[in-house]
Amino acid sequence: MEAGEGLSPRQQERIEQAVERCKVENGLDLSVLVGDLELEDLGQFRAACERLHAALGERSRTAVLFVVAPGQRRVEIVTGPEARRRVPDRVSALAVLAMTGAFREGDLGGGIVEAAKQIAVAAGRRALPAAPDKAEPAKTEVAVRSGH
Amino acid sequence: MLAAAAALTACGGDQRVSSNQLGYDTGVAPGTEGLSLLEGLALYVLAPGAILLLVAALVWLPGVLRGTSYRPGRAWSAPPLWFGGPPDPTAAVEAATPGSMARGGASGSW
Repeated sequence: MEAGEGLSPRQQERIEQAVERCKVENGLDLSVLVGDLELEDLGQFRAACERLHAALGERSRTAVLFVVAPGQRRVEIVTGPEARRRVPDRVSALAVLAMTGAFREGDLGGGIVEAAKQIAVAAGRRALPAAPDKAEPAKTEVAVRSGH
Repeated sequence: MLAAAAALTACGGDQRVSSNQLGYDTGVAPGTEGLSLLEGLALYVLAPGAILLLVAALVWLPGVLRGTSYRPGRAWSAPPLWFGGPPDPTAAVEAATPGSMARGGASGSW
């Protein structure tokens, strides 16, 4: 393969902007991985993506992960349990359709940006649930309830 | 475009403006000397060529600027890029334990 393949700087910039916009405008923790996964069998793709999602650590409950493997021609959206309430699987499926449609035309950047937009619209506008001070009361409330 | 304009003026009509407002004097055959080989080439080859090239560039440039280098079915050798990922992806993936978290999402292929 000749040099210069892969995402162009312009495409990378657009994806970064889309990820940033999701975070700032919708309070949605989106991350996008573009690259082939090292797998013996493509049947393990979903499991590998869930592992990648778990690698987000504490964020994974509220995180949405796009995995785009251009060489393997597979795309996967993984949502954490909290994120799934805002981004139901039905919405994920539509976003995947938007991506596969664009990827078939060779437009990697455009597909990812479009899917990010769809997910952001579905999630609606909400502040980032990033505040530990906000998360703490919810936790203590559960603890109190379980004590009764 | 400059080349096209230059070619057109090189073959051009400025020489005969002096005749009158309607065109040529009665009885004068226009352009009896004809086009030289160079003028002919410029008018019929260079000028259309320049216009063709301009149109081709207008069609071709946006795609190049957008960088649609990916073609489905070709291998992908670029190293993985993780936008908004963990600070140290390799270590994070090594240490990751998917556990029993109920994850959602969707899959697709193209």
